[in-house]
Amino acid sequence: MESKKLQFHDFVAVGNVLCGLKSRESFGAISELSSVLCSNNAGLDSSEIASLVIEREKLFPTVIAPGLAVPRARIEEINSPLVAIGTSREGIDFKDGGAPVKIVIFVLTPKSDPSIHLQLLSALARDFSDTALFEKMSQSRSPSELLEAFGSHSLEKIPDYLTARDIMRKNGLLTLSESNTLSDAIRIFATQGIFDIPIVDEDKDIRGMISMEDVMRLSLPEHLLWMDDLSPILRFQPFAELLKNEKETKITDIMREDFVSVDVSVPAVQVAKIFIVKKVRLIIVTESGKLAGTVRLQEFIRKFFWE
Amino acid sequence: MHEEEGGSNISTSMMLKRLFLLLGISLTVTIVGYNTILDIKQSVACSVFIAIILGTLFFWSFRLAIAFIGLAVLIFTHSLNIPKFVESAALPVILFLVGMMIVVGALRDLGFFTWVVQMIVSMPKISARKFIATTAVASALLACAVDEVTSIIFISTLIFQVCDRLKLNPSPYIIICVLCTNVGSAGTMMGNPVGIFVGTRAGLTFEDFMIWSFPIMLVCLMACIVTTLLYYRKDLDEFDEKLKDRLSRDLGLAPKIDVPYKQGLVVLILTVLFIASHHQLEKLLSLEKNSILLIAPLICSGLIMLFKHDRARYYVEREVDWWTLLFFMLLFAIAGTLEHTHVTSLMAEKFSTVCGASQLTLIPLIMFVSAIGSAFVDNVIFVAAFCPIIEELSSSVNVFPLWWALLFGACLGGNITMIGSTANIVALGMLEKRAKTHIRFFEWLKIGVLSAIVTLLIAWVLIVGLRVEAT
Repeated sequence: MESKKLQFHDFVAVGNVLCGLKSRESFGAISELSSVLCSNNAGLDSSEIASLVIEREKLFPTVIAPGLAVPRARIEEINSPLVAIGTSREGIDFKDGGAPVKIVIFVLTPKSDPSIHLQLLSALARDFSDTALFEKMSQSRSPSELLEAFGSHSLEKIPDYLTARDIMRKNGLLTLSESNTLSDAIRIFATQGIFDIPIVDEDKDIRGMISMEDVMRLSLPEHLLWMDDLSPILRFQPFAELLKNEKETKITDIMREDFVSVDVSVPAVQVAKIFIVKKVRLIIVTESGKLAGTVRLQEFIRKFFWE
Repeated sequence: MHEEEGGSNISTSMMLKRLFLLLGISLTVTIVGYNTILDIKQSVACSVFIAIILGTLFFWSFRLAIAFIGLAVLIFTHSLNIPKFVESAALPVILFLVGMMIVVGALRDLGFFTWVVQMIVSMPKISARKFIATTAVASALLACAVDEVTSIIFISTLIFQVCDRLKLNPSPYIIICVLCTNVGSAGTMMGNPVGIFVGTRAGLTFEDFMIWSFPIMLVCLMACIVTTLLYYRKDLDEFDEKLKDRLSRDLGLAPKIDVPYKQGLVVLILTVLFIASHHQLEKLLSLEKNSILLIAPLICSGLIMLFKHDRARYYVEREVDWWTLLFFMLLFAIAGTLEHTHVTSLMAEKFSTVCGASQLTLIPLIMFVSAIGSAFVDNVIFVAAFCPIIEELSSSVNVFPLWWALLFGACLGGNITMIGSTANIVALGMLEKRAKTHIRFFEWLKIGVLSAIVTLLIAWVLIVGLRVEAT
């Protein structure tokens, strides 16, 4: 496989770099980069591709780090990835509520290679974990200067296969600590469409997990679950007590310690298997035993099958 | 349903040491036995039996593997053949247990156990001692009605629930209930596989058990409860405080619900009545002794599977503890080999030459030996080997009271150590899994020995007393 030796910047041609994007908002910037890419590659329809990427951007902003956005799409017409890079001194509003975006990396990947975009993103994320690279690239005055900066800093190879590290969510993790109460968890469950919350301490050691079912289980004691059919129990007021002291009940009293976790190095295929076999919706990813991120089933499906 | 303690984490070198110890001891027995009083078949039978005993002691989670291989060794060495294997595998006992396990599955589905637990947690004017004493009595009676392992699984769950709510360490209360469950399991032939095995070997009926073992069990149970409540008085005081605090805040121990219990109760009562009336029915229909006893649970579970046909497969596959039953079958067969090769008659001979043929010396002796034996190995193994010895003794002495001595010795002796009975192991497994606490060997041993001594002394006195009355 050729990607074995490649690094992300190998996919970027000088002609596909724009220093100083004109637009100050994301859709305009996407259109600019799309037309650059399409003018250098015959047979691609710039406006069609731009609208595809914009549609995707509307659903999920692609800002992967402060100031860095990676709008992307999978298309049929190409056989290998195409990348364009644009920079903006003033910054572009990507509608994610964060800082203005200074570097936009526009990525088109072939549909025939469905996981290449994840592999590219993985290498990219690691390249940019070095903030010096971001600074140098955003300050570059010419495409060749930018590419030189990228080439000299970029060390990460495009990985052969995806690991838990590549598919996990690192930023904006929703966790609770042991001092939180049941009512904190209930509020998140009820309002945020989240099913499982990891419980961590200050050292990022994972203490447990709480899921929606655990709240339910609190109101249905185990001895009732022995029965096959609960329908004869019509008058059942299990929630009164739960509501009475939800503010007093500590998370530690209800969390489970049998959460599912994998190391960052575990291949994505194993993560997929765990989702099926263990019937969980959230897998905690650890690095040297500490919380590194989480993989939610929904995010997994989105990244692999939809994006 | 039956929970199994997972493979205990022992290192490879430790495993090898134990393996060599096991093979060493069992080979030594063969060699010594062959060179002294035993012939080759007898010594092989002895060494396989000892290997099984040590195997269950050292490698609890490998016991079935050891039993399978042990059986093969017996067949290869001509110590056992297939017809004899089938004969001594005690298939009726196994089927009796299968039937009871299916009935238990249905009782669970029908909410019987839920009802028992709900009754206990919602009892009026609850206090720590009242709660624990009631739970202990319930665990003993449930053990009588179904079996000890089922009883302890449901009762432990109750204790975990209550201790969770009160933020208490459940260990002392689990120990109290397990001790009482083991005492209770001596009360009827359903209580413990030992009961039904002794019953079939000795030709004892359900009524015999009701007259002999049930009342003795009740007295022992009271003594056991008093002993343990006194022993754990400090923990109970803490329990009381937390309970009062919770009740004063107007919080209960469980949600108030009305559990529909009638169907389950009817099924249980009918099953017990059917089993209880076996002797009358056998006389009425002029059937062989204990033939209805052994098939009564099968008839009941057959009817249950007819009515709940959509759950039948679930009951048979999940509620029946095939792992343990297979182990019992092989165990009975291997112990049967000791009988076929006349090892047991040799032992019976020695037994009566050493201690004479008086009931008064044999009763405490058998109780003591079987109690110590069951403290360290599965009491079923011990009883399976001991039954033929008592049968041999019957030529010189009235063995009727000796069966009860064996039964009580085996059941009460199970309390001595934490590995003494299946109920102990199951409860400790649950404790580790649910409450993440371990009980140290000596922590158990202290109260275990104390309660075993108290109950064994009572059982001894009562067996001797009832014996006079019976003769």
